[in-house]
Amino acid sequence: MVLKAGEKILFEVRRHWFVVVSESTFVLLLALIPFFALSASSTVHLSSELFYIILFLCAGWLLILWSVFFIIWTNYYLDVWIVTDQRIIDIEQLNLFNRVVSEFRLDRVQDITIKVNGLIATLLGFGDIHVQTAGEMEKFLIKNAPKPYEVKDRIIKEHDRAIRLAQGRNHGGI
Amino acid sequence: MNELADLAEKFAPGILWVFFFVIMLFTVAVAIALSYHWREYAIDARKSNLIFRGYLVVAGILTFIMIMATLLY
Repeated sequence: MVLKAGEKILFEVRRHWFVVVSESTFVLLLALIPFFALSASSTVHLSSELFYIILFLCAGWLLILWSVFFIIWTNYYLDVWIVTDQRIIDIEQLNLFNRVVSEFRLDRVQDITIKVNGLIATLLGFGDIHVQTAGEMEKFLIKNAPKPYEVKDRIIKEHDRAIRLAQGRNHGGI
Repeated sequence: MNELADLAEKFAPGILWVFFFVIMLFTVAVAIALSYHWREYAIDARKSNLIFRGYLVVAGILTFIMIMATLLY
């Protein structure tokens, strides 16, 4: 990602950790199988050949699961909103080969809506943030963002600052 | 237990190597795709290098265990 000259990253917003944990729970459960297999094989008297086969299969199984987990983590980590002092860049990492990047200027922000849905989201403090921009019908959305109210306040603060800057430039130009 | 031991004997090291190369093929393909993503799309290059190295280290340890298990079999 290339920033404009003089542009500064203020903060990044990713989905809440609960999302990545819930997405990888199945993988983590599958990763327990080799440990059960190895502990079971240590209690039973096995020939060394059989032990090495079990060890080989366990390592192979864990290697595949590790790669799957890392793909999930990569999709989580690269799916981000980058708030700079000029714009918000919305990078949607749908999967490894499916990616949407859009951006809007901070002074174009018109309306921010927070949606906290459900008990877990309320307890852990995450929710969806919708941003409506001026002149366009498109809404920008980040799902399951942590501390959504805090993020909203920060965006509004930066929006106000961007407006003041834009007005200052206009007055200066007259 | 004897049946299991017989089954183990039937497992020729050749089959283990075939399994090994299939898993390696998958891992290398994933590593190339992930490396591209972390290089091209990450914001902080240093941090992304560190995260991707973590993946490679763990994958390397598991690969080493697989090779040793095959050689010792």
